[in-house]
Parts: sequence; C-alpha cells; structure tokens
Amino acid sequence: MNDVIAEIKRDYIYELAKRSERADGRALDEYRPIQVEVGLIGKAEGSARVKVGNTQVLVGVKIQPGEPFPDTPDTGVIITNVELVPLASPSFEPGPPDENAIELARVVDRGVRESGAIDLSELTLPDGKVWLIFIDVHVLDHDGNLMDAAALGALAALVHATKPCERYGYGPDAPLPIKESPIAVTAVDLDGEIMLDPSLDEETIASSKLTVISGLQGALAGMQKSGTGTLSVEEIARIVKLASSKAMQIRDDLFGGSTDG
Amino acid sequence: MSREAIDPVIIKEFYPRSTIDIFVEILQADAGTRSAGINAASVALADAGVPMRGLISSCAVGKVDDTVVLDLVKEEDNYGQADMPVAMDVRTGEVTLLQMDGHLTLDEFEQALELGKIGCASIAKMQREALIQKYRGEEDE
Repeated sequence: MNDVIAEIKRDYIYELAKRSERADGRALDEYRPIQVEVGLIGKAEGSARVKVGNTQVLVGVKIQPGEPFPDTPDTGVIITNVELVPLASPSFEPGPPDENAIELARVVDRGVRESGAIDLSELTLPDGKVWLIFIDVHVLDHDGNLMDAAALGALAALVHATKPCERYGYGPDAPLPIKESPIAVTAVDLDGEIMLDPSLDEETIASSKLTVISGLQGALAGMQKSGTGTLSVEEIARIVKLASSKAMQIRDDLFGGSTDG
Repeated sequence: MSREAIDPVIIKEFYPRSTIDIFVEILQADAGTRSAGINAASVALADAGVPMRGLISSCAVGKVDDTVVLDLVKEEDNYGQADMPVAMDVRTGEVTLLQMDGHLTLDEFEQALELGKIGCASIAKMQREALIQKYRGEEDE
C-alpha cells in the first residue's frame, strides 16, 4: 500500500519483467501456492484461513437473526468488514479502518453480493426477521495480493458456514444457500507485462492493480481498479480475459469445480 | 476512488510539500454522482490553473434488461443488472478509474467498455468547450 521499496529492487523487477520473468521465479500468470483451511474458529459459524504464498488472511463468518433493512424486508443481510492488523505489515496502523481496508472490504463484499453467491431471498425467517451474515476478514500477514486472498477466504468460510438455527429455535442447523463461486483474480501491469497474483514488491512498484471477480460461467461479477496509475482499454480487456480463465482454474483446483467445497 | 481517478493526470511534481484540496458537493443524487463529481473536479482543476497532463472524463455504463446502456439513472442503477463507472483521459486512452458490480459476460463487458469510451469522449468535448467558453467570454468584454 504505502510501502517504500529500494530503487535497485524496483529496477531489478522491471528488468526481469522485460524478459517475462519474476523475482520469485514464477511464470507471469502463475499464483503462489494457495492453501485453504476451514473451520479453525469453533465459535464462529464459519471460518477459513487462506495462505497465498506468505500472504495470510483469516476470515470468520458470524450468522445471527436480526431485522432486515426496511426497503428489503425479504432478503438477508451481508455485512463485510476488513481488519488490517498492525502485526501484518509495517504500514498497517491501529485505529479505525483506513481507505485500503474499506476498499478491500467493499471488493470482498461486492464479489459475494453481486455474483449472487448467497441466495439472500432464502434467508428469511418465519417471524419477519432475516439472517444477518457478518463476514470479518483479518489480514494476518501482508505479502501482496490481499484482495484475492480475502475474497477466497470469504468464499471458503461461507461455503463451510452453518446457520445456527437450533440456538435460536428455528429447527435444525443448515448450511447457507450457496449458489455461486466468485473468485477474485488480481493483476498488475509492469511495462506491458501482465502479472497475476502480485507479490508485495510487485504491487508496490506497479502504479495500479486490477481485480476481476468472476463466477462459475466465467461471467464478471465485479471489478476494481486501484492505485493512481492508468491502464489502457486494451490492457484491461487482456487482463479481464486472463483473469476469468485463471479464476476457473483456481476454482477447479480448490473446489473441484463445484461450490460444495 | 475519485481521488485515484484524477490523481494520475495532475503534475504533482510542481507542488512539492503541498496539498490540493478538491471539494465535491452533491446537490442532488440521481445515480452517476461519482462520474459527475470527477467531470466537474477535472474542469475545476483546469479552471484553477493546476497543470495537468490531460482532462479526465467519466461516465457510467451498465446493463438493464440484458442491454448494455450508457449513463444509468437512479432506477436503472438500483434495479439494473450491472453498474460500471469508467474514468479516462480520452486523449491518451488511459483509464484511471474502473469499477464494476453486477453481472456481465465477457462480451457484454467489451461492449460496455467500448460504450464507456464513447461516453467519455462526448463528455471530454463538453469539458473542453466549457473551458474555451470561459476565455472566449473574457475576450468579448
């Protein structure tokens, strides 16, 4: 985010990019090893820890009955929050969420909401209440590409979450109505070379990032450009195509192509 | 987000240790407020004489009833299928802001981006005209 990087490192990464290489030896469209563990937090209705290389996020899902928004009485509620824990990066400070945390939360939220990952209309309760779903993302270690890790963590935690029906007297516990499987893929453009899953160094020197969230059929559910750099229309088109097919691959590798995990 | 849309064209090297404050006041919201704000801010910066590499023009594209459309109104934004604000420097074709939520197929996305380009181009024309008009007015007096 606002990390400082040595000029010599910057030059090195740019030099490598010219030869289509990366500092950690990955191919341009190659992700770092992704590891997903679920159910680590017993008190949460759903939880997941995702590692993408050294980047690490923990996502907790809390589900409880509550009042719906007055304008949408027949739909459940999703509330997403991101905590950039100070121990995760020298540039994270304690205090209320900053611009970066809010952006991250909005992108994660948008991926889940706009893709229709959860059928919110199935979250109504007989007494006029609805299920409120809180998605809390804690960034534990920041080594680049928080967007993809957070989005993946949110999806994994939701897929494995259970509605605590019994506790509130609504019958037996049940899983959430999961209908889609949105995967976020982030790319940076260094000197015309598009790199997926940017490491911290790569995203620090790239002036802008593009996150593309796509669903099961490859259709787009959300997109976000961040950073003060610019991208050409052609670059955007290239990234979107690349991201959509990469998302399919990640989904197949992690979830076996289905949403039931 | 709006800051990041305009930031790239401002020649900040001319203003070390300084801050440029831009205030955008939304008087009436009927969707597209962010785009309108960016368009206004860009012209206001030029009016203030802040050196810039270009003018930023912005518009929203979306999908309503399975059709890709330009510049959504409130109802289309709330009940439509997708909303995608775009901001760019039309002269260089550099995109400075791109966000999307909703549902678009890859083909629809390409269509939307193309439409956004056209929309921004027509906004850019009006922005230019507004700036030229100002100085034309001074000449006449």
